[in-house]
Amino acid sequence: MSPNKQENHETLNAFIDGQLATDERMHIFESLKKDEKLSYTLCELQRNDEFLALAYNNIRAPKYDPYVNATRFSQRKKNMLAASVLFIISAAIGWQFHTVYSSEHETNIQDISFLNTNTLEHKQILIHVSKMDPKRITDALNKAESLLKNEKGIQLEIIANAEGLGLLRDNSPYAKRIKALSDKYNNVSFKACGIAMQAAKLKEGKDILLLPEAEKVPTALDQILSRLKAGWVYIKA
Amino acid sequence: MFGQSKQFKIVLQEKWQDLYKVAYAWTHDNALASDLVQETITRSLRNREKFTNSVELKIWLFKVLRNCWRDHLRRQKPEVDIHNIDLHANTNVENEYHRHQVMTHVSNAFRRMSLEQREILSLIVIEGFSYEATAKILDIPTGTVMSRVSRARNTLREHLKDIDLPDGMSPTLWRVK
Repeated sequence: MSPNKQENHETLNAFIDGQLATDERMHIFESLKKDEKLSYTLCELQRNDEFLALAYNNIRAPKYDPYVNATRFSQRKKNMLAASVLFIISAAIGWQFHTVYSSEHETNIQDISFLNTNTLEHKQILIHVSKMDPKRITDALNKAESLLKNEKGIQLEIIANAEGLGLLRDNSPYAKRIKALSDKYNNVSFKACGIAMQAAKLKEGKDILLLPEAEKVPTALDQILSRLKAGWVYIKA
Repeated sequence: MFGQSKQFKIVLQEKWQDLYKVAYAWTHDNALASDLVQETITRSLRNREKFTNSVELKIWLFKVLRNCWRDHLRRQKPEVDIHNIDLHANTNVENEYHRHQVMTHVSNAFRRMSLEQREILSLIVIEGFSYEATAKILDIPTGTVMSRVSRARNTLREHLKDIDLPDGMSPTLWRVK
């Protein structure tokens, strides 16, 4: 890779990781408009990140016990040999992760153009929230509202897991907005990951309550995969 | 802030899952990951007086975890170098869409990457650390984090390109106008 190309690739990675200043981000957005190859690369890298996160974010730790003597390294050889990996969770009938690039100013569906508009036979859209990042969540809710307002016949689902579960908990700072969306539109639903709820329960030592508009599903991953299989469009918030 | 042992243990408990997840991503061994995290907790408890805020503590915990992991590799190196274990996928995705197999390919691709690349991707992609925090954990300059994560993502991309994906499994583009 040439030095210049390497540098550009590093900047693209910094963009993915949210490490750029606003003006640098806007510069990347400008480049994405003009350069389809760059868009594809970005999409591919983000998809790979998603798969990596999905593969490891559901790994459950054994019960916390700070009193256990952590000097059992002599057992490692046996452990190494026994380390056939069990991936409890999983993934992907249809590896059709469709990614949309969130923009700081993007609030309207008219701002988004689908390269494959014609393939969207069913306007079914899944928005995945996995981080409790105010900007991302606001963008996601703006995007959802925009879609609901401007697109007829769509079905939209917002699914939250990991840290993003906070969006749908009873103490969510977005409770009013979610209620307003739910009251106004009957084609939007909110789903919370059962595994994330269980993890939060173990961590906090109390039952996790959801907003009345939200519904628990066994796992976010299975929900996402079943939606993808059914042809839904996936948007990562 | 963390002078009280009980208070400190509560904070450690909150980080337990995060530490384990990353330890597992590095080791792919349940028992070893558990041991590494236990060792991290033990060392942290010993040095709890040093910390004044939970942000720095999280970075420090991962730094300790990484040291424990490196110590372990040094001890094991003559016999096992975990990132050189042959991890070629033994599944065939060509004619099936089975979800376990696809994810197995992703995890196998990750495990075929160098230790250095797995470390950086797990901290940034799985755990969500900033470049600055990652630089502190790995004890390298931020610029090195930037170039290393770029190379790591490229490597992962190359590995995943090897998968003969059925039609329609490539990412579909949406574009911002």
